[in-house]
Amino acid sequence: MTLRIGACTVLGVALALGWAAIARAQETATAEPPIGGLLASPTQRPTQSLDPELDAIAAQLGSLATSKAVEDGVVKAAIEHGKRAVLQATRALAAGDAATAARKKQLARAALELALRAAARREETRAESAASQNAVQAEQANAQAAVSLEQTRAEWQSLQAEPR
Amino acid sequence: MTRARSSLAVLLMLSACGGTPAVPREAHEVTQAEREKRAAELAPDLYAKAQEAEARAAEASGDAQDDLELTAELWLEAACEEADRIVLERKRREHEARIEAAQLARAGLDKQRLELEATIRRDEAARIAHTEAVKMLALAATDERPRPAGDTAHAEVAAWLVSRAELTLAAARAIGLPEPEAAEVAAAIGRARKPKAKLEDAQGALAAAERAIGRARALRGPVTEDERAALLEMASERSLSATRDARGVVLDLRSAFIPGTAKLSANGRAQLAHLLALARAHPHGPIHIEASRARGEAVHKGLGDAPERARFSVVAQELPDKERVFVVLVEYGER
Repeated sequence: MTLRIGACTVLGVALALGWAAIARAQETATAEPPIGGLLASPTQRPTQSLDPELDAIAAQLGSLATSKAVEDGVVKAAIEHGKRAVLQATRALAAGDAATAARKKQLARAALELALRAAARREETRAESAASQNAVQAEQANAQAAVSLEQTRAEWQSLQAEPR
Repeated sequence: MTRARSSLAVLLMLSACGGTPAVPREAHEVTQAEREKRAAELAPDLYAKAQEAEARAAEASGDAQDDLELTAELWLEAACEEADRIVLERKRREHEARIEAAQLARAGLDKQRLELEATIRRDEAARIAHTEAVKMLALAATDERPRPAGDTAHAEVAAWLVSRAELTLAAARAIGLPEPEAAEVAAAIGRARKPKAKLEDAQGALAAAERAIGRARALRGPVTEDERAALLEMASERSLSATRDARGVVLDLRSAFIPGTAKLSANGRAQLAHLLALARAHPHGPIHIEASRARGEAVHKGLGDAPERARFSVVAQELPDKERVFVVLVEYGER
Protein backbone atom coordinates (compact mmCIF):
# COMPACT_ATOMS: atom_id res chain seq x y z
CA MET A 1 0.00 0.00 0.00
CA THR A 2 2.80 2.34 0.94
CA LEU A 3 4.55 1.38 -2.21
CA ARG A 4 1.42 2.16 -4.26
CA ILE A 5 1.04 5.54 -2.60
CA GLY A 6 4.73 6.24 -3.26
CA ALA A 7 4.43 5.25 -6.88
CA CYS A 8 1.37 7.41 -7.37
CA THR A 9 3.17 10.34 -5.80
CA VAL A 10 6.18 9.91 -8.06
CA LEU A 11 3.90 9.58 -11.08
CA GLY A 12 1.95 12.65 -10.02
CA VAL A 13 5.12 14.71 -9.59
CA ALA A 14 6.45 13.48 -12.89
CA LEU A 15 3.20 14.37 -14.64
CA ALA A 16 3.19 17.78 -13.03
CA LEU A 17 6.78 18.39 -14.11
CA GLY A 18 5.92 17.14 -17.57
CA TRP A 19 2.96 19.44 -17.96
CA ALA A 20 5.07 22.33 -16.72
CA ALA A 21 7.76 21.55 -19.28
CA ILE A 22 5.19 21.31 -22.07
CA ALA A 23 3.62 24.59 -20.96
CA ARG A 24 7.04 26.27 -20.96
CA ALA A 25 7.80 24.91 -24.37
CA GLN A 26 4.50 26.22 -25.73
CA GLU A 27 5.16 29.59 -24.18
CA THR A 28 8.59 29.72 -25.75
CA ALA A 29 7.19 28.66 -29.07
CA THR A 30 4.66 31.47 -28.93
CA ALA A 31 7.32 33.98 -27.98
CA GLU A 32 9.93 32.85 -30.52
CA PRO A 33 8.78 30.25 -33.00
CA PRO A 34 11.39 28.15 -34.82
CA ILE A 35 13.14 30.04 -37.61
CA GLY A 36 12.66 28.91 -41.17
CA GLY A 37 9.13 27.62 -40.98
CA LEU A 38 7.45 30.88 -40.14
CA LEU A 39 8.79 32.98 -42.98
CA ALA A 40 8.21 30.19 -45.41
CA SER A 41 4.60 29.81 -44.32
CA PRO A 42 2.36 32.66 -45.54
CA THR A 43 -0.40 31.68 -43.12
CA GLN A 44 1.73 32.60 -40.14
CA ARG A 45 2.87 35.95 -41.52
CA PRO A 46 1.08 39.15 -40.50
CA THR A 47 -1.81 39.63 -42.87
CA GLN A 48 -0.68 43.09 -44.00
CA SER A 49 2.76 44.58 -44.48
CA LEU A 50 3.87 46.73 -41.57
CA ASP A 51 7.23 47.70 -43.10
CA PRO A 52 8.05 47.29 -46.82
CA GLU A 53 11.80 47.34 -46.09
CA LEU A 54 11.42 44.40 -43.74
CA ASP A 55 9.43 42.61 -46.41
CA ALA A 56 12.24 43.23 -48.90
CA ILE A 57 14.84 41.92 -46.47
CA ALA A 58 12.72 38.85 -45.79
CA ALA A 59 12.28 38.25 -49.50
CA GLN A 60 16.02 38.43 -50.15
CA LEU A 61 16.73 36.12 -47.25
CA GLY A 62 14.10 33.70 -48.54
CA SER A 63 15.65 33.79 -52.00
CA LEU A 64 19.13 33.12 -50.59
CA ALA A 65 17.74 30.29 -48.47
CA THR A 66 16.60 28.47 -51.60
CA SER A 67 19.84 29.05 -53.51
CA LYS A 68 22.97 26.93 -53.68
CA ALA A 69 24.72 29.54 -51.56
CA VAL A 70 23.04 28.15 -48.48
CA GLU A 71 25.42 25.18 -48.71
CA ASP A 72 28.00 27.56 -47.27
CA GLY A 73 27.92 27.52 -43.48
CA VAL A 74 28.40 31.26 -43.04
CA VAL A 75 25.59 32.03 -45.48
CA LYS A 76 23.27 29.60 -43.75
CA ALA A 77 24.00 31.00 -40.29
CA ALA A 78 23.53 34.58 -41.49
CA ILE A 79 20.17 33.69 -43.05
CA GLU A 80 19.02 32.16 -39.76
CA HIS A 81 20.03 35.31 -37.88
CA GLY A 82 18.31 37.47 -40.44
CA LYS A 83 15.06 35.52 -40.40
CA ARG A 84 14.92 35.62 -36.65
CA ALA A 85 15.53 39.38 -36.62
CA VAL A 86 12.85 39.99 -39.28
CA LEU A 87 10.34 38.04 -37.23
CA GLN A 88 11.22 39.88 -34.06
CA ALA A 89 11.02 43.24 -35.81
CA THR A 90 7.62 42.36 -37.26
CA ARG A 91 6.31 41.39 -33.86
CA ALA A 92 7.72 44.54 -32.28
CA LEU A 93 6.03 46.64 -34.95
CA ALA A 94 2.76 44.87 -34.36
CA ALA A 95 3.13 45.53 -30.64
CA GLY A 96 3.87 49.20 -31.31
CA ASP A 97 7.46 48.93 -30.01
CA ALA A 98 9.14 51.12 -32.62
CA ALA A 99 12.57 51.24 -30.89
CA THR A 100 12.91 47.45 -30.72
CA ALA A 101 11.60 47.11 -34.26
CA ALA A 102 14.26 49.53 -35.51
CA ARG A 103 17.05 47.62 -33.73
CA LYS A 104 15.87 44.27 -35.02
CA LYS A 105 15.56 45.67 -38.53
CA GLN A 106 19.17 46.89 -38.34
CA LEU A 107 20.14 43.42 -37.20
CA ALA A 108 18.25 41.83 -40.08
CA ARG A 109 19.89 44.23 -42.52
CA ALA A 110 23.35 43.36 -41.19
CA ALA A 111 22.57 39.64 -41.36
CA LEU A 112 21.35 39.98 -44.96
CA GLU A 113 24.51 41.90 -45.87
CA LEU A 114 26.64 39.17 -44.33
CA ALA A 115 24.70 36.46 -46.18
CA LEU A 116 25.13 38.29 -49.50
CA ARG A 117 28.83 38.96 -48.96
CA ALA A 118 29.46 35.39 -47.86
CA ALA A 119 27.59 34.09 -50.90
CA ALA A 120 29.72 36.30 -53.15
CA ARG A 121 32.87 35.12 -51.39
CA ARG A 122 31.74 31.53 -51.86
CA GLU A 123 31.38 32.08 -55.60
CA GLU A 124 34.75 33.78 -55.74
CA THR A 125 36.31 30.88 -53.85
CA ARG A 126 35.05 28.51 -56.51
CA ALA A 127 36.12 30.77 -59.36
CA GLU A 128 39.58 31.27 -57.87
CA SER A 129 40.00 27.54 -57.35
CA ALA A 130 38.95 26.80 -60.94
CA ALA A 131 41.24 29.53 -62.29
CA SER A 132 44.12 28.16 -60.25
CA GLN A 133 43.61 24.70 -61.72
CA ASN A 134 43.23 26.10 -65.21
CA ALA A 135 46.43 28.08 -64.80
CA VAL A 136 48.32 24.97 -63.78
CA GLN A 137 46.87 23.08 -66.75
CA ALA A 138 47.69 25.92 -69.14
CA GLU A 139 51.27 26.05 -67.88
CA GLN A 140 51.60 22.28 -68.19
CA ALA A 141 50.26 22.45 -71.74
CA ASN A 142 52.75 25.22 -72.45
CA ALA A 143 55.61 23.13 -71.10
CA GLN A 144 54.43 20.21 -73.24
CA ALA A 145 54.34 22.47 -76.30
CA ALA A 146 57.92 23.54 -75.56
CA VAL A 147 58.99 19.88 -75.34
CA SER A 148 57.22 19.09 -78.64
CA LEU A 149 58.96 22.00 -80.32
CA GLU A 150 62.34 20.83 -79.02
CA GLN A 151 61.67 17.33 -80.33
CA THR A 152 60.70 18.72 -83.72
CA ARG A 153 63.85 20.86 -83.75
CA ALA A 154 65.95 17.80 -82.93
CA GLU A 155 64.25 15.90 -85.77
CA TRP A 156 64.96 18.77 -88.15
CA GLN A 157 68.60 18.95 -87.10
CA SER A 158 69.07 15.22 -87.59
CA LEU A 159 67.51 15.50 -91.06
CA GLN A 160 69.81 18.40 -91.86
CA ALA A 161 72.78 16.30 -90.83
CA GLU A 162 71.84 13.52 -93.27
CA PRO A 163 73.76 13.69 -96.55
CA ARG A 164 71.73 14.74 -99.56
CA MET B 1 36.26 44.90 -32.06
CA THR B 2 37.27 42.63 -29.16
CA ARG B 3 33.77 41.90 -27.97
CA ALA B 4 32.74 41.00 -31.42
CA ARG B 5 35.31 38.26 -31.62
CA SER B 6 33.76 36.03 -28.95
CA SER B 7 30.34 36.19 -30.56
CA LEU B 8 31.88 35.77 -33.93
CA ALA B 9 33.10 32.40 -32.77
CA VAL B 10 29.49 31.54 -31.99
CA LEU B 11 28.49 32.57 -35.47
CA LEU B 12 31.18 30.45 -37.00
CA MET B 13 30.19 27.53 -34.78
CA LEU B 14 26.66 27.95 -36.03
CA SER B 15 27.92 28.04 -39.54
CA ALA B 16 29.94 24.90 -38.99
CA CYS B 17 26.71 23.02 -38.32
CA GLY B 18 25.46 23.49 -41.83
CA GLY B 19 26.86 22.39 -45.13
CA THR B 20 30.17 22.69 -46.83
CA PRO B 21 33.06 24.96 -46.13
CA ALA B 22 32.14 26.73 -42.95
CA VAL B 23 34.98 29.18 -43.38
CA PRO B 24 36.45 30.20 -46.68
CA ARG B 25 39.78 28.74 -47.62
CA GLU B 26 41.18 32.24 -47.74
CA ALA B 27 40.11 32.85 -44.15
CA HIS B 28 42.18 29.94 -42.93
CA GLU B 29 45.32 31.52 -44.24
CA VAL B 30 45.19 34.50 -41.87
CA THR B 31 44.34 35.05 -38.24
CA GLN B 32 41.10 36.73 -37.24
CA ALA B 33 43.00 39.87 -36.22
CA GLU B 34 44.60 39.99 -39.66
CA ARG B 35 41.23 39.42 -41.31
CA GLU B 36 39.76 42.36 -39.41
CA LYS B 37 42.70 44.57 -40.30
CA ARG B 38 42.34 43.58 -43.91
CA ALA B 39 38.57 44.18 -43.72
CA ALA B 40 39.23 47.73 -42.48
CA GLU B 41 41.41 48.31 -45.56
CA LEU B 42 39.43 46.51 -48.23
CA ALA B 43 35.83 46.96 -47.05
CA PRO B 44 35.94 50.28 -45.15
CA ASP B 45 32.20 51.01 -45.52
CA LEU B 46 31.14 47.72 -43.90
CA TYR B 47 33.84 48.00 -41.28
CA ALA B 48 32.67 51.53 -40.40
CA LYS B 49 29.14 50.21 -39.88
CA ALA B 50 30.48 47.58 -37.50
CA GLN B 51 32.37 50.22 -35.56
CA GLU B 52 29.35 52.46 -35.40
CA ALA B 53 27.14 49.62 -34.10
CA GLU B 54 29.75 48.70 -31.52
CA ALA B 55 30.01 52.29 -30.33
CA ARG B 56 26.26 52.47 -29.94
CA ALA B 57 26.27 49.14 -28.09
CA ALA B 58 28.76 50.54 -25.62
CA GLU B 59 26.30 53.30 -24.76
CA ALA B 60 23.26 51.01 -24.58
CA SER B 61 22.18 48.44 -22.00
CA GLY B 62 20.05 45.33 -21.71
CA ASP B 63 18.44 43.90 -24.86
CA ALA B 64 19.42 46.94 -26.87
CA GLN B 65 23.07 46.36 -26.05
CA ASP B 66 22.81 42.69 -27.04
CA ASP B 67 21.14 43.57 -30.32
CA LEU B 68 23.68 46.23 -31.18
CA GLU B 69 26.59 43.95 -30.31
CA LEU B 70 25.20 41.23 -32.55
CA THR B 71 24.63 43.81 -35.28
CA ALA B 72 28.26 44.91 -34.94
CA GLU B 73 29.43 41.32 -35.19
CA LEU B 74 27.41 40.74 -38.34
CA TRP B 75 28.71 43.91 -40.01
CA LEU B 76 32.25 42.98 -39.05
CA GLU B 77 31.91 39.49 -40.44
CA ALA B 78 30.35 40.93 -43.60
CA ALA B 79 33.37 43.21 -43.93
CA CYS B 80 35.72 40.25 -43.44
CA GLU B 81 33.83 38.21 -46.04
CA GLU B 82 34.02 41.08 -48.49
CA ALA B 83 37.74 41.46 -47.85
CA ASP B 84 38.21 37.72 -48.35
CA ARG B 85 36.31 37.95 -51.62
CA ILE B 86 38.46 40.85 -52.81
CA VAL B 87 41.65 38.94 -51.99
CA LEU B 88 40.32 35.88 -53.80
CA GLU B 89 39.32 38.01 -56.77
CA ARG B 90 42.84 39.43 -56.97
CA LYS B 91 44.27 35.92 -56.88
CA ARG B 92 41.83 34.81 -59.57
CA ARG B 93 42.92 37.69 -61.77
CA GLU B 94 46.54 36.66 -61.26
CA HIS B 95 45.65 33.11 -62.30
CA GLU B 96 43.80 34.43 -65.33
CA ALA B 97 46.84 36.48 -66.30
CA ARG B 98 48.97 33.34 -65.95
CA ILE B 99 46.51 31.43 -68.13
CA GLU B 100 46.58 34.14 -70.78
CA ALA B 101 50.37 34.30 -70.74
CA ALA B 102 50.65 30.50 -70.93
CA GLN B 103 48.13 30.33 -73.77
CA LEU B 104 49.92 33.05 -75.71
CA ALA B 105 53.27 31.36 -75.19
CA ARG B 106 51.80 28.03 -76.21
CA ALA B 107 50.29 29.50 -79.35
CA GLY B 108 53.72 30.84 -80.27
CA LEU B 109 55.39 27.50 -79.59
CA ASP B 110 52.73 25.61 -81.54
CA LYS B 111 53.12 27.99 -84.45
CA GLN B 112 56.88 27.48 -84.50
CA ARG B 113 56.44 23.71 -84.31
CA LEU B 114 53.87 23.66 -87.12
CA GLU B 115 56.13 25.79 -89.31
CA LEU B 116 59.05 23.50 -88.58
CA GLU B 117 56.96 20.42 -89.31
CA ALA B 118 55.88 21.95 -92.62
CA THR B 119 59.54 22.64 -93.41
CA ILE B 120 60.42 19.04 -92.56
CA ARG B 121 57.62 17.73 -94.80
CA ARG B 122 58.73 20.00 -97.63
CA ASP B 123 62.32 18.93 -97.15
CA GLU B 124 61.37 15.26 -97.14
CA ALA B 125 59.26 15.72 -100.26
CA ALA B 126 62.11 17.58 -101.92
CA ARG B 127 64.54 14.82 -101.00
CA ILE B 128 62.27 12.17 -102.45
CA ALA B 129 61.65 14.23 -105.59
CA HIS B 130 65.35 14.91 -105.92
CA THR B 131 66.27 11.25 -105.57
CA GLU B 132 63.63 10.31 -108.12
CA ALA B 133 64.74 13.04 -110.51
CA VAL B 134 68.39 12.02 -110.28
CA LYS B 135 67.46 8.42 -110.99
CA MET B 136 65.16 9.20 -113.92
CA LEU B 137 67.38 11.79 -115.53
CA ALA B 138 70.34 9.43 -115.30
CA LEU B 139 68.30 6.74 -117.00
CA ALA B 140 66.99 9.14 -119.63
CA ALA B 141 70.42 10.51 -120.43
CA THR B 142 72.37 7.25 -120.58
CA ASP B 143 69.88 4.84 -122.08
CA GLU B 144 70.50 5.50 -125.72
CA ARG B 145 70.50 1.91 -126.89
CA PRO B 146 67.58 0.61 -128.91
CA ARG B 147 65.01 -0.79 -126.58
CA PRO B 148 62.39 -3.39 -127.24
CA ALA B 149 58.80 -2.14 -127.21
CA GLY B 150 57.03 -2.56 -123.92
CA ASP B 151 60.17 -2.06 -121.87
CA THR B 152 58.73 -1.08 -118.50
CA ALA B 153 61.80 0.93 -117.45
CA HIS B 154 61.58 2.85 -120.72
CA ALA B 155 57.89 3.57 -120.18
CA GLU B 156 58.50 4.62 -116.60
CA VAL B 157 61.24 7.06 -117.55
CA ALA B 158 59.16 8.49 -120.41
CA ALA B 159 56.17 8.99 -118.13
CA TRP B 160 58.36 10.72 -115.56
CA LEU B 161 59.87 13.01 -118.22
CA VAL B 162 56.40 13.95 -119.47
CA SER B 163 55.14 14.72 -115.97
CA ARG B 164 58.26 16.77 -115.35
CA ALA B 165 57.65 18.64 -118.59
CA GLU B 166 54.07 19.37 -117.50
CA LEU B 167 55.25 20.76 -114.17
CA THR B 168 57.90 22.87 -115.84
CA LEU B 169 55.35 24.26 -118.30
CA ALA B 170 52.99 25.07 -115.44
CA ALA B 171 55.79 26.98 -113.70
CA ALA B 172 56.57 28.83 -116.94
CA ARG B 173 52.93 29.83 -117.31
CA ALA B 174 52.87 30.97 -113.70
CA ILE B 175 55.73 33.40 -114.26
CA GLY B 176 54.26 34.85 -117.44
CA LEU B 177 55.00 32.71 -120.48
CA PRO B 178 52.81 34.02 -123.34
CA GLU B 179 49.96 31.62 -124.02
CA PRO B 180 50.72 30.93 -127.74
CA GLU B 181 54.20 29.71 -126.76
CA ALA B 182 52.77 27.70 -123.88
CA ALA B 183 50.26 26.07 -126.23
CA GLU B 184 53.06 24.88 -128.52
CA VAL B 185 54.85 23.23 -125.61
CA ALA B 186 51.60 21.73 -124.39
CA ALA B 187 51.10 20.19 -127.83
CA ALA B 188 54.58 18.65 -127.72
CA ILE B 189 53.82 17.21 -124.29
CA GLY B 190 50.53 15.84 -125.63
CA ARG B 191 52.35 14.05 -128.42
CA ALA B 192 54.87 12.59 -126.00
CA ARG B 193 52.06 11.24 -123.85
CA LYS B 194 50.61 9.07 -126.62
CA PRO B 195 51.07 5.30 -126.17
CA LYS B 196 53.24 4.90 -129.24
CA ALA B 197 55.46 7.85 -128.43
CA LYS B 198 59.19 7.24 -128.11
CA LEU B 199 61.46 8.15 -125.22
CA GLU B 200 62.96 10.82 -127.48
CA ASP B 201 59.52 12.46 -127.72
CA ALA B 202 59.39 12.72 -123.94
CA GLN B 203 62.92 14.10 -123.85
CA GLY B 204 61.97 16.61 -126.56
CA ALA B 205 58.88 17.65 -124.61
CA LEU B 206 60.93 18.23 -121.48
CA ALA B 207 63.51 20.22 -123.47
CA ALA B 208 60.70 22.34 -124.92
CA ALA B 209 59.28 22.94 -121.44
CA GLU B 210 62.74 23.90 -120.14
CA ARG B 211 63.18 26.30 -123.00
CA ALA B 212 59.72 27.72 -122.22
CA ILE B 213 60.56 28.42 -118.60
CA GLY B 214 63.83 29.97 -119.74
CA ARG B 215 61.85 32.21 -122.08
CA ALA B 216 59.47 33.17 -119.26
CA ARG B 217 62.41 33.99 -116.99
CA ALA B 218 64.02 36.09 -119.68
CA LEU B 219 60.77 38.02 -120.15
CA ARG B 220 60.44 38.56 -116.40
CA GLY B 221 63.71 40.50 -116.14
CA PRO B 222 67.07 40.19 -114.38
CA VAL B 223 68.16 37.07 -112.52
CA THR B 224 66.42 36.59 -109.20
CA GLU B 225 67.69 34.83 -106.10
CA ASP B 226 65.08 32.11 -106.67
CA GLU B 227 66.50 31.47 -110.13
CA ARG B 228 70.02 31.15 -108.72
CA ALA B 229 68.77 28.59 -106.21
CA ALA B 230 66.78 26.79 -108.93
CA LEU B 231 69.89 26.56 -111.10
CA LEU B 232 71.90 24.95 -108.32
CA GLU B 233 69.03 22.57 -107.56
CA MET B 234 68.66 21.60 -111.20
CA ALA B 235 72.41 20.98 -111.48
CA SER B 236 72.26 18.81 -108.39
CA GLU B 237 69.35 16.80 -109.86
CA ARG B 238 71.38 16.27 -113.01
CA SER B 239 74.36 15.04 -110.97
CA LEU B 240 76.47 17.97 -112.05
CA SER B 241 78.92 19.31 -109.50
CA ALA B 242 77.98 22.98 -109.04
CA THR B 243 79.11 25.77 -106.74
CA ARG B 244 78.40 29.46 -106.65
CA ASP B 245 80.96 32.21 -106.20
CA ALA B 246 81.65 35.71 -107.44
CA ARG B 247 82.37 34.41 -110.97
CA GLY B 248 78.95 32.81 -111.28
CA VAL B 249 77.56 29.33 -110.90
CA VAL B 250 80.52 27.08 -111.65
CA LEU B 251 80.01 23.55 -112.99
CA ASP B 252 82.90 21.12 -112.79
CA LEU B 253 82.94 18.94 -115.92
CA ARG B 254 86.29 17.28 -115.27
CA SER B 255 84.60 13.88 -115.09
CA ALA B 256 83.15 14.33 -118.58
CA PHE B 257 86.57 13.48 -120.06
CA ILE B 258 88.70 10.41 -120.20
CA PRO B 259 91.60 11.29 -117.87
CA GLY B 260 94.64 12.69 -119.61
CA THR B 261 92.79 13.26 -122.88
CA ALA B 262 90.43 15.73 -124.51
CA LYS B 263 87.97 12.96 -125.38
CA LEU B 264 84.52 12.88 -123.79
CA SER B 265 83.87 9.85 -121.62
CA ALA B 266 80.75 7.64 -121.91
CA ASN B 267 79.16 9.78 -119.22
CA GLY B 268 80.46 12.98 -120.80
CA ARG B 269 77.75 13.18 -123.47
CA ALA B 270 75.05 12.87 -120.81
CA GLN B 271 76.70 15.65 -118.82
CA LEU B 272 76.68 17.90 -121.86
CA ALA B 273 72.99 17.11 -122.42
CA HIS B 274 72.33 18.18 -118.83
CA LEU B 275 74.43 21.29 -119.35
CA LEU B 276 72.24 22.23 -122.30
CA ALA B 277 69.11 21.68 -120.20
CA LEU B 278 70.49 24.06 -117.58
CA ALA B 279 71.26 26.64 -120.26
CA ARG B 280 67.76 26.30 -121.74
CA ALA B 281 66.03 26.89 -118.40
CA HIS B 282 68.38 29.69 -117.27
CA PRO B 283 68.64 32.12 -120.14
CA HIS B 284 70.57 35.02 -118.61
CA GLY B 285 74.03 35.98 -119.78
CA PRO B 286 76.99 34.25 -121.38
CA ILE B 287 78.44 30.89 -120.36
CA HIS B 288 82.21 30.52 -120.18
CA ILE B 289 84.03 27.24 -120.68
CA GLU B 290 87.23 27.58 -118.65
CA ALA B 291 89.52 24.77 -119.68
CA SER B 292 92.47 23.92 -121.85
CA ARG B 293 91.83 24.87 -125.44
CA ALA B 294 91.42 21.23 -126.52
CA ARG B 295 88.96 20.34 -123.80
CA GLY B 296 87.13 23.63 -124.14
CA GLU B 297 86.59 23.07 -127.83
CA ALA B 298 85.51 19.49 -127.17
CA VAL B 299 82.82 20.76 -124.88
CA HIS B 300 81.72 23.41 -127.33
CA LYS B 301 81.59 20.91 -130.15
CA GLY B 302 79.77 18.39 -127.97
CA LEU B 303 76.88 20.80 -127.53
CA GLY B 304 75.92 20.07 -131.12
CA ASP B 305 73.60 22.42 -132.94
CA ALA B 306 71.39 23.35 -129.99
CA PRO B 307 70.32 27.03 -130.06
CA GLU B 308 71.81 27.54 -126.58
CA ARG B 309 75.27 26.79 -127.92
CA ALA B 310 75.59 30.40 -129.01
CA ARG B 311 75.84 31.49 -125.37
CA PHE B 312 78.89 29.31 -124.76
CA SER B 313 82.41 30.55 -125.38
CA VAL B 314 85.75 28.94 -124.66
CA VAL B 315 88.01 30.86 -122.32
CA ALA B 316 91.17 28.92 -122.94
CA GLN B 317 93.51 28.71 -119.99
CA GLU B 318 96.83 26.94 -120.20
CA LEU B 319 97.14 25.95 -116.58
CA PRO B 320 99.28 23.30 -114.89
CA ASP B 321 96.09 21.37 -114.18
CA LYS B 322 95.11 20.45 -117.72
CA GLU B 323 92.33 18.22 -116.51
CA ARG B 324 90.30 21.10 -115.20
CA VAL B 325 87.05 21.97 -117.01
CA PHE B 326 84.82 24.63 -115.50
CA VAL B 327 81.64 25.89 -117.10
CA VAL B 328 80.58 29.24 -115.60
CA LEU B 329 77.12 30.81 -115.89
CA VAL B 330 78.36 34.28 -115.14
CA GLU B 331 75.05 36.02 -114.49
CA TYR B 332 74.15 33.69 -111.65
CA GLY B 333 77.05 34.48 -109.30
CA GLU B 334 76.91 35.84 -105.78
CA ARG B 335 75.81 39.44 -105.56
